[in-house]
Amino acid sequence: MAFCSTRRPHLAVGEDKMLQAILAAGTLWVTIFGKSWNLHVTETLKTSLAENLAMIRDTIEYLRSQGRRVIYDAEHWFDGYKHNPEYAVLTLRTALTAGAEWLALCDTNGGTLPHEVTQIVTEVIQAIPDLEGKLGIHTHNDAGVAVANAIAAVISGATMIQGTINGYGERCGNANLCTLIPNLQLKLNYSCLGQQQLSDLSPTSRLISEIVNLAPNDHAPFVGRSAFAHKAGVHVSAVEKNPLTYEHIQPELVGNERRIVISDQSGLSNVLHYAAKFGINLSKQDLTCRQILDKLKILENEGYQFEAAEASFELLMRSILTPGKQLFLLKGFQVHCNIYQEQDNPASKALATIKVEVDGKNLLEVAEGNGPVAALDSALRKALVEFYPQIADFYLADYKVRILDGSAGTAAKTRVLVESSNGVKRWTTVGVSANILDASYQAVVEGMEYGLLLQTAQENKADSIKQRT
Amino acid sequence: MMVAPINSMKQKPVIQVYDTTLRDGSQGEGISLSLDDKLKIARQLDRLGVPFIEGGWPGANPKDVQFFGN
Repeated sequence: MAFCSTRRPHLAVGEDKMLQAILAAGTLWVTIFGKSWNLHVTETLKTSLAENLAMIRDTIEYLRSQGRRVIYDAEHWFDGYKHNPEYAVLTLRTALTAGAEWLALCDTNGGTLPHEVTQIVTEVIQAIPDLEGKLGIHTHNDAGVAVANAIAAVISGATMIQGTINGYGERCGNANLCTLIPNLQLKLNYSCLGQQQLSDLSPTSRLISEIVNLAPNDHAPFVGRSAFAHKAGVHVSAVEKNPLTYEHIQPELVGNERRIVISDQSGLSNVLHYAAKFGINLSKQDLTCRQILDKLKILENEGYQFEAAEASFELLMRSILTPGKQLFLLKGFQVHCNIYQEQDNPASKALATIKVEVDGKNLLEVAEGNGPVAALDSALRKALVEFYPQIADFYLADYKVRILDGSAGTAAKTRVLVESSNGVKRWTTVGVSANILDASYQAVVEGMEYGLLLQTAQENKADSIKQRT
Repeated sequence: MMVAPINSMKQKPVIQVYDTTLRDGSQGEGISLSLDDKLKIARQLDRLGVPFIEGGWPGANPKDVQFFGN
């Protein structure tokens, strides 16, 4: 549907080019916004109160005569009503009589509070009973209560909610539909979306944040990644017994999921949860369980973060459970970077040399890359692929760097997250060091180790199926 | 003690969802949507079952005119 203002003052409606563009858009529904607040009519539009009413009436009647259905957005309605209730109500009567099928009350400046919305919506329905079933609410979040205001309006009789995904919008944003819809539907039993569609809300929120290229708000109610994440040890153990203990709704209803977060606040329950997820047999009484937790706390203190690097955590767990042989022994590496300033080829080139020992054999390899990490990754692959041919299928899918102690400037520790893939699965590993190359190296090596672990697990599974059949 | 849901005795009306991500939402600082972005968002909102999707103000800018053209 298309959106447009009322016709300009003292202009015949058929001559307004703006309205011609609306008709050309070819939508069945058109939203027209008009002034409700006398101050805006005289100060912004510089016209008379009577002319403003004529603009509302003419525009809506014209669009109706052209076969369009009309929603009327009453701009600054709440502020207008507070200053001049008679005139504000008159604008609505005019729009309704002219043929608008929905009238949305807008809190354009976002400064109204929920108790005022309740009172004003109730009063306007009393003043114009025909509004029932035709009233909408459009709120902004300047006072932090856009969702609360919309809920108040619905409870008082509004049946259309206007808002945006993730609350995007001017200044502090619009009413966040990803919060508003679940509240209305799950708490107050109004029907907004189909149940199946409601469970598409979290993926929709994330997809749209990707499209608009803004980092998703992990702590957003209902749809945020952390909305059902449990970190404190007591919470984790209670949630595992009964999710109702620390969750206000079932996460699946809005397409979200429960997450148990590994962190230094977490206790043995978290370690056990992950052991189960990784298919590792572990009980609270095992001494190794405590060892894993202790090691985890030491590493997190150094700056490692496993919440986003479960593959590294699994490797850590397995290395403590079965201290076995390493894939290889690193003897050392060097990386040279050349930055070319030539105009036709401004790219940088890096050269990495690596020395490793595999099965008692010393190997020295060299490789080039666009950047230092790519060169190092490439040299390491060259050295290992002879012994572990599967490595040829792995590739680096994503790479993220975070400075841990910003006050130390360039001497700060860096944490590197590397996402690797074998074309089917993706996994994330972590490295931490004051040297960004060292941190990257750790994460890249763990990425390869985990890939090989996946491969072995799959082969074992295939073998056991073969044996059974 | 259980809190009784408000209006529990009355049949609840269906609430119409009206999305304005493509117009009001794109007024947010740091958001700039290409035509392709707008079409992708509109399709996703349609999949979500949103009955009213406000596309923009045709005539206000060429991108919105193209959007409605699609």
